[in-house]
Amino acid sequence: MKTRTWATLLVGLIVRIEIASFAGHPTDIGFFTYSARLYYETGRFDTLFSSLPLLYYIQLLFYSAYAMIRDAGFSDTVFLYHSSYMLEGLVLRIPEILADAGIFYLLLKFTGKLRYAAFYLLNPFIIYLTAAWGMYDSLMMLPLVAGFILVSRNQMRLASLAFLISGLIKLFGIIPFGLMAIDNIAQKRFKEFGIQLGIGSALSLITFAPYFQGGLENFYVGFVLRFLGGSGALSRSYGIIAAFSGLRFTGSTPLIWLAGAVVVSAFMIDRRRSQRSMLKTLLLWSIVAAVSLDIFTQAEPQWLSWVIPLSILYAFITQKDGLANFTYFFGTVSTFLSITLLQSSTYLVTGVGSLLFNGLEALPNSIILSDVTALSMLLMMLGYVFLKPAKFKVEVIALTALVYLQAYFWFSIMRIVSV
Amino acid sequence: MKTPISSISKRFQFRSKSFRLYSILVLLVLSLAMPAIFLRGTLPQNTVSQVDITQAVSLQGVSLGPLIWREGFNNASSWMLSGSGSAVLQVNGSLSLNIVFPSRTAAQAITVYHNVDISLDQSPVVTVRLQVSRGVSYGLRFWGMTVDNKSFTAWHEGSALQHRPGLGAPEIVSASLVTESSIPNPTLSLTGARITRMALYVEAGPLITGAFSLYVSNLRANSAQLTKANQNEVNGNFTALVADLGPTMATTTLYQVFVGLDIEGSLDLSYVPYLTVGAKVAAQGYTYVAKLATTYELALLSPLLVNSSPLFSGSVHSSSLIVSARTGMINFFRLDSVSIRFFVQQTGQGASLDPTTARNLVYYFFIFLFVIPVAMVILVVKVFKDED
Repeated sequence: MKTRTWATLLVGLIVRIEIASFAGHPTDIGFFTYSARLYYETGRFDTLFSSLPLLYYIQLLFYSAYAMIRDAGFSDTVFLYHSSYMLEGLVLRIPEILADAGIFYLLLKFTGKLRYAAFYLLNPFIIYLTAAWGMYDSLMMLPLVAGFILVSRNQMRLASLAFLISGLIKLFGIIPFGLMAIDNIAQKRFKEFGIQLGIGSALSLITFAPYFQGGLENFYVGFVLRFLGGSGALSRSYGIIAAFSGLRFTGSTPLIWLAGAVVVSAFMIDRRRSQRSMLKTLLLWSIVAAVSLDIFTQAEPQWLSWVIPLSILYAFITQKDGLANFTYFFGTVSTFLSITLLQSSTYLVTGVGSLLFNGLEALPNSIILSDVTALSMLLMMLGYVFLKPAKFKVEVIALTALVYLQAYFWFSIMRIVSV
Repeated sequence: MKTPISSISKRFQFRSKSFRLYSILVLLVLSLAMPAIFLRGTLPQNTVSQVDITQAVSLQGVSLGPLIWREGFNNASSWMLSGSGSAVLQVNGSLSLNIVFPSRTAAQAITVYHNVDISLDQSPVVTVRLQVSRGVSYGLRFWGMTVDNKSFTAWHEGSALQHRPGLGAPEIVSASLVTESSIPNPTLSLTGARITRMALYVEAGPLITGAFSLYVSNLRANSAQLTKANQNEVNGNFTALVADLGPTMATTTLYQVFVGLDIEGSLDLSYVPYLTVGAKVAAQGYTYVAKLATTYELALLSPLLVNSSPLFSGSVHSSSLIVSARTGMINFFRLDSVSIRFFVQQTGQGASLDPTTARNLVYYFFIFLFVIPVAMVILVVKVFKDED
């Protein structure tokens, strides 16, 4: 690789390692820390782990290096009010940091454009999620991106496997996997469908097997129903529909089924009627599915990151340079919204939330304000995806600012909706 | 279209680039997997633990029993008014309090007191049907007397009965007087004790001014009926279930509680699980509703979710799991498992933060999050553009 590529990669890694060494989401990092320590301190396998099992296995692998140095006598220290030790928190995020570097490499290899790869690696939202928050979305996106690249090379079985691995880390990966399965059925490739189904079932069974020791009922309710949106808990929601209606859904809104049906139908019609390649069609409807999930479900802020690498890939194959540029702007604004409106400027840094910038942070109806601005950007992104290639212009920044200010006026000052 | 495994293996040649990549990956995984197996359980156990309980000491269903006391609102002189602001009290089959709060920089409150005589031996549950204007808050307080004439307060700050916002609509408020008495007096013997006085108050925050009202149409107490369960399972019509989990535990390091339960009830059933340690609510779960797929639920309780207290509490000398119906009735309950997790979370040295240091830290964070990445992207887009 050339010097400028190394320089970009180095900057991406340095900012991540620097931030990860002191910042972290106290609650989420707390979950991961607890489960890793439970294994290495008590020897118990955590069948009540807060996320999908594959993430736990990956974290346990990397944590073993930390356990080794702790066993050797290394004494770690806690920074301010964080739930993990400093080095421990960094170790827990190494897999995500490596995944970010992997996606950078894949995007660079596939597009040949350092700019596109940098739009991902140096995107503030990706850095924020991986290094500051400690979220594992990039770990899911690495096999996802690899899957699309494999589709471009017509290596469908490997692509399908990559999507499945992605889905076993975070369920979004199941969407392109499912669309490929539907396409196999529609094209009467039943053998391929059977292989896909067989690999999917076997790999899922192997991954989940250790969890069965916690009881099949716990597995069914704690994993299957919870991750499919069928939990009985009326929990907090960041989704725009929940924010506007004030409802607390037990899973997704009923509209998600409509959105799902639209995505699947549109994908099938697109495959039948248009001359688009499989890669283009699969990418297009995966982006639409990601946007639909952001709008119609109990979307978490980190879900906004899923469209970033997908849009960069789509921008490259459709030569929509404006879309690639927009993803960087989208990530920067999403970071701003998440910090100022959904958490607080100090929460990830010190471990306790406090408002340093009152004019930006202490706003009534802040979730609606964030949701409306994010929705406007998602719609703009769909505009870039579906409409003719357009340049990224400064007007887009002005338009987003205008939406933010309008939402601020109506929802924070006039409070026309109270949640 | 298809990529047979054989064709992949043909490409996969010794010393090829892909072989080196895969072998590095396999070596990496193996070098991490080996210690993951052998170092399991080797770190000193001093920060996390999990206690599993499969059998409760006792389990009982609680439901409302017969009426033991009812206020007729037919003696105006038995109600005493006190506080700031002007108020008109009318007691005639119901209680109506009309208040005008003048504009003040401090909070204001009006209270009406009433003497009652309700024995705690009957486990009374008081129910009030009332309506309070929007813009003000209200609450209920009780006082009592032990069998040896020692007075005690039967209310506490933080209870769901205190500082409730007025809704401007009718609502029903219930409280177990035994629970309300035992929380502020965990060591007091309540055998033979009586509730002798109650108060209803309306309060307005600073600068809140105007006319407000409190209207009480019904005030009564029913005894609580307890149904003991055989083992971990109970059938009937219950408002709450109380499972005694054994002796009290330290709550400072309590992290999470997972409760596996099987529950059936009326169509409108929604419920909240609580873990109480002595008289204190140590952890609370979300509000849960029935699912179509199964009657089983794996409920998560956390100290961070505590924002209310259950209508009925367990023994002040033990830890209890309480499943309290918010709406509807519980018809069947089985306690499957309880996993209580403890997590010692230390605080960093010099953890007291002043705003200036916090602000500097946030600026430092922003440099790595925004400034350096954006500067590098500008460099890549503008300077490296031609070299792409």
